[in-house]
Amino acid sequence: MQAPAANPQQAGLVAASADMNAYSAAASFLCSPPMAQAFAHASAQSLTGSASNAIIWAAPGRDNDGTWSAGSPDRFTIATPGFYEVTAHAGIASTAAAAECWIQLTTGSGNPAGPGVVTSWWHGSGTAFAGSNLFIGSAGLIPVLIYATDVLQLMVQPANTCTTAQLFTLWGDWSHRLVSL
Amino acid sequence: MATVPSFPSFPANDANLARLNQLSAAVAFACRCPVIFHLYKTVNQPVASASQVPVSWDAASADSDNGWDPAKSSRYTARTPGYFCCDWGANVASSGVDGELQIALRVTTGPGNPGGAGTVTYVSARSDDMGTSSQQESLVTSATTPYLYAGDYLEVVVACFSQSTTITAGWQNSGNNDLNGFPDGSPGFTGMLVSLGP
Repeated sequence: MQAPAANPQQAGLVAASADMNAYSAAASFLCSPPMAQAFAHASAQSLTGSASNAIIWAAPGRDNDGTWSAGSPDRFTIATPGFYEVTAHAGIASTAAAAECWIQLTTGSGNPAGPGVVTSWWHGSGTAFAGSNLFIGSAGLIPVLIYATDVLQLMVQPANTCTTAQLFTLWGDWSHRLVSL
Repeated sequence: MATVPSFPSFPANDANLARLNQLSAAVAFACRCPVIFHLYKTVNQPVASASQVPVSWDAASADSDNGWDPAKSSRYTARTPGYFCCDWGANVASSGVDGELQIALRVTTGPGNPGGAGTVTYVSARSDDMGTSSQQESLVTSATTPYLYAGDYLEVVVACFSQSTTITAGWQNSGNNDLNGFPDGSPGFTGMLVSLGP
């Protein structure tokens, strides 16, 4: 998405229509910022015990910046640089016994640090009651500037090999939203 | 319903007052977030074992769009369409019997939704083992909703397994402690319109 640019004006000059339309585009951008909202793929996904697993997402209901693709359904590849707030949760079968999750950021080729640098944010965890599926999640502002081509994922590490599962008919959810350029 | 802005298009040499005020209103809308709510509880609420209970809210510290009706106390009904970022949490009394606490946000479509009324979708959930103690078990969660049409409503639902319990009121009351000894995350539900969409 094209981030807005509002040029400063000078006293005594008549504002050009291009500048005024830039202000209008900036207001529109603020009212409908880059954002995705998706649910987890509604079938059991195998999760390896004591290892990190990326959760797979179904086609988003909202993804106005084209961050998800069917070819890489476990990834949201950022298109507009900025600071993002992320919330994500996943359902885990009770056979996991316990599980931890986190938001993983992997830099892409457009990041000044170079591609492939991995950081993790907002770890959450939970313990399953016998026979009941577990639902864990991570949420928060990712406090580093995210560049175009950087990738966001929800990672899950169960104690035991298991599958994803549903709770309240929900398998998992994801949202991210640009909160500052 | 909040007045939803529109975004003017300026032809050359025609930045007239109406268009400038239209632009000003749009900027004010984005900066002031005119749709925000916070609901909470002052009265305890029982939860039977293995039943799903919508949390009844009995007080609002903010409700700028009049989406909460005390006569339908569990619901926040969208008046202004869009995407909402919500945070919610509830704490329940634990006991010597182990069990599981589950909490979720669910959307029920209203008559203004193109898909028809009465369709239920769960937006996000959390669950955890309650353990065996006489403290409080708290869960908090955040999520962004799907696009809400005017008349769609949100509810926080709680379920407990293996024991009946009580959603414990006492907003900002530090007298109740959770399993780790921290002040409880007493029941609350906040939301804010974050995108007009569609």
